[in-house]
Amino acid sequence: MGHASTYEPKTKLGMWFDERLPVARMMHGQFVEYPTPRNLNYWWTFGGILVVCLAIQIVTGIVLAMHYIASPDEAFNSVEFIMRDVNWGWFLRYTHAVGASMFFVAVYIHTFRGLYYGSYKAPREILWMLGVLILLLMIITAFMGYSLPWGQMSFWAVTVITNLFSSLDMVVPGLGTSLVQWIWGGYSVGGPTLTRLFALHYLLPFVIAGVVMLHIWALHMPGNNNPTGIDVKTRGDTVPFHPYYTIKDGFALVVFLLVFFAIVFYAPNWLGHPDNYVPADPLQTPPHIVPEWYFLPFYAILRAIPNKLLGVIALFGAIAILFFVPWLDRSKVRSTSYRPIFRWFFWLFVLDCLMLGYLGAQMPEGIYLILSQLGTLYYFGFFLLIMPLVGIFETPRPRPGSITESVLGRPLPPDRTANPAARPEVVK
Amino acid sequence: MKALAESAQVTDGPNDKGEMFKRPGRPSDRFPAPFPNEEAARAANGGSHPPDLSVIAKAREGGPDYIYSVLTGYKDKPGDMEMAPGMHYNTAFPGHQIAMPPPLADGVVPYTDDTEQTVDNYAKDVSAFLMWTAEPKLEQRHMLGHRVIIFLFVFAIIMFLAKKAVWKRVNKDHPPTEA
Ligand code: HEM
Ligand code: HEM
Repeated sequence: MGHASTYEPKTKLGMWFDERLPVARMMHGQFVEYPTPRNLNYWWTFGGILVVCLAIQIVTGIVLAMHYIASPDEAFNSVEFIMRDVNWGWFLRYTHAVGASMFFVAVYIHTFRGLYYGSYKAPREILWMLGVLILLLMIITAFMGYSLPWGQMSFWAVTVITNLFSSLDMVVPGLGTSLVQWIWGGYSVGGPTLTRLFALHYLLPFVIAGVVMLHIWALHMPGNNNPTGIDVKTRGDTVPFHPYYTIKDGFALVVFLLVFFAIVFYAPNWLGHPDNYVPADPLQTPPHIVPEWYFLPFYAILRAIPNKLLGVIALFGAIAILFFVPWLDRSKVRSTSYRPIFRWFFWLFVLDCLMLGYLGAQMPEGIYLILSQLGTLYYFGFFLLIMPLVGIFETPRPRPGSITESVLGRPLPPDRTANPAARPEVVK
Repeated sequence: MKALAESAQVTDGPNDKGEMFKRPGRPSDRFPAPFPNEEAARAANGGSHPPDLSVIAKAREGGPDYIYSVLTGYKDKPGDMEMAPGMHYNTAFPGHQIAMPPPLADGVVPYTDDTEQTVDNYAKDVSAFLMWTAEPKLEQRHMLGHRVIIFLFVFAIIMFLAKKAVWKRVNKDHPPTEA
């Protein structure tokens, strides 16, 4: 948005349209000319990949919904019917199921990228918070989707997770129980629960699509951050989005799809759990209830805390705290590349999340429980103590004078350096 | 396939008089269930419900290997073990007590060639068959997979070269020092 449009409609019809509804002008401005920092690395390709992931989920999901039957007696068999008798049904379902996992792989990389390069700092706080909102919606959507095949794991995951709300009984007696029964639409997880999960699973991805549009709008106001974390100062710091980043994003996307479809065709059940091929049986609890891999770190946090209510608060807190990151970080420097101390804490945080993921799949006892508790402590400590304190006490490493200097690897001669005072005008 | 299916009698209907009738099977029919309902199945099997085996090979950790191990896992129980009534000792089954009596025995089914008629060979065939019923599209999936992966691989190389070619222009068309 922060640059003048050079869009010239070439045909009469184009001109006629442009005066009435300048969509083409907007698209040209935002996705062709859009000045993009010239030094973006491959970590910046995941935003585009995520858009494609969402599109794949919506397209495969809609076709699956044409054959799927949301009833406890039929759901499991209808999924098997899709796998056997619907033309290309196996491809649709495996793409949707593997697609959900790949979506989370991409979104976690995208989020850690934002954390590493300080992309949440001013003026991108709203952009970041919309991202966190998307993450929350994705988690809810995927949880609901996983319930739909109505296998053993589906059923028991729904039972365990919805039951979490009953912990509110500890605050107001009866409140939690009433809430849970309201969510279930009855006294146990059953038909009414499944149909509402399906209705919402259909709805939420479109809500996500709407928030993604706002997310990209909020991105295009200040423009992209970049690996140096330094603001764009001159035109020369940028290149037009097309063709430079369309081709780079395109290449990254093809490599991503290569991995994606290698899993779909050769190991589609690798990321799933065998118990979900057993039809749901409300009378038989599986010995070991585990969620999908992408929820494991959160599950570990939930179970690390012996008190049920506090565990639930920690679970929601683990996401909610992300909303406050722009204000928790007190550093003046965006990019972690120039933060010698924070860097260590950042990578330790990544390891911590991986460890919590591993622990989420283990029984919460003995050493596993103790490690989960330490992991949870570090998770929250990272945001609440390390981010504010390191930001205040750390001395950042010297940064290049501009994006261009960092690309060239040497300072520019003084006469060629743009006057920083003229900065906003130059970019606009 | 068709002849095999016709050898089974399938209940179909109701016809226009509202009655159920028997007819020879077709390949698109389900396998006829051995028990009319779950209660009958439990009664015949010491209280345990024999599971539907259509997707069993995907529903167990280890898949067909696990099935093979269960089928060949019937052994004499260790002397000190207490067995529940009607249960059979099995090395592969969780808990080592299974309600299913040993389903295979040497020589029960003749092979059309001179394959040895052993439990071991039967168990291999049964687990391979159950893997097929669990994943009837597996072969088709792999065939298509080869093509898709080769296509994407070539596409990735082309995209990589295109990206390099485009980015070569960047310093010429957009000099980094331009104010
Ligand atoms: C469906 C999910 C999402 C989509 C489609 C999406 C899309 C995008 C796109 C296209 C970009 C620009 C390209 C790039 O920087 O990679 C972007 C940037 C960004 N996204 Fe997302 N995003 C999603 C989820 C998230 C989440 C969960 C977060 C954080 C919690 C987030 C935070 C950010 C930030 C901070 C930027 C700016 C990065 C920068 O310029 O340095 N996004 N997003
Ligand atoms: C954010 C996007 C989405 C995510 C993360 C997601 C996730 C999931 C997951 C994890 C499953 C379970 C797959 C399995 O193990 O079988 C599932 C199933 C399903 N989803 Fe989605 N989904 C998304 C969008 C959609 C949309 C837009 C629709 C419909 C319009 C849809 C319709 C379905 C249906 C019908 C099933 C049941 C069939 C099956 O299990 O394969 N999904 N989804």
